[in-house]
Amino acid sequence: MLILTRKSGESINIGDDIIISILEVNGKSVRVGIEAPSSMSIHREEIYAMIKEQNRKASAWKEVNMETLGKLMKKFGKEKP
Amino acid sequence: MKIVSGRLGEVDIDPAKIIMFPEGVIGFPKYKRFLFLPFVEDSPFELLQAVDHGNLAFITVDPFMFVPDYKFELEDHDMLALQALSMDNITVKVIVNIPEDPAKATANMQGPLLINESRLLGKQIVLHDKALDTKHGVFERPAL
Repeated sequence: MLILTRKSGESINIGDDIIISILEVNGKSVRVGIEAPSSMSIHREEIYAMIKEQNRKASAWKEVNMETLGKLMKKFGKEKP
Repeated sequence: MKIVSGRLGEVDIDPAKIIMFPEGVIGFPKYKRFLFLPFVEDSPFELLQAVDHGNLAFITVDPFMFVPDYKFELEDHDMLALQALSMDNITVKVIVNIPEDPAKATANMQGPLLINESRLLGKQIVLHDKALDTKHGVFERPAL
């Protein structure tokens, strides 16, 4: 990992198309501005990690009572809310 | 074309229905070809099965069936990836996580799957709204 120290108002360039700017430092929070091509996705790391974890759990094989699951699934959407 | 599904066994599929996820699914970037298979007869739940990896499959469902006002905005990079100009041709599904007690199944509302049906392109997107639940109860009745 490349580690740099920046002050409020300073920026970091990544390649030709990405600029990360430190906009404001307020106590423990840092306000970061990111300029990047619209084809790139930018995410808060903890949200991305949560989704990855949910995906992993969802795809893992589990011993589930298929009869119960089947009943729940068939009923789903058929009941009036 | 025959493929092997860890959950359904050997399945005959129509290759014309294969959906390309150029970035794979989050956490599984290597597997890009998927298709929807019926999971439980007479129910809206399907299995999004990876064509090239029998054990990679997700149970999916239409989120609007239990959150009718589910909405979000598509960002530029998502629209580009899906080659879509608007939400008009896009189908939305969410991944369902089924624990040992199936009644406690949850859906990830923060990471929906978007599919451009006419181009057979798919992408899992990350929504920024922190109020969205990654573990939204599917079979539970929420308190009003």
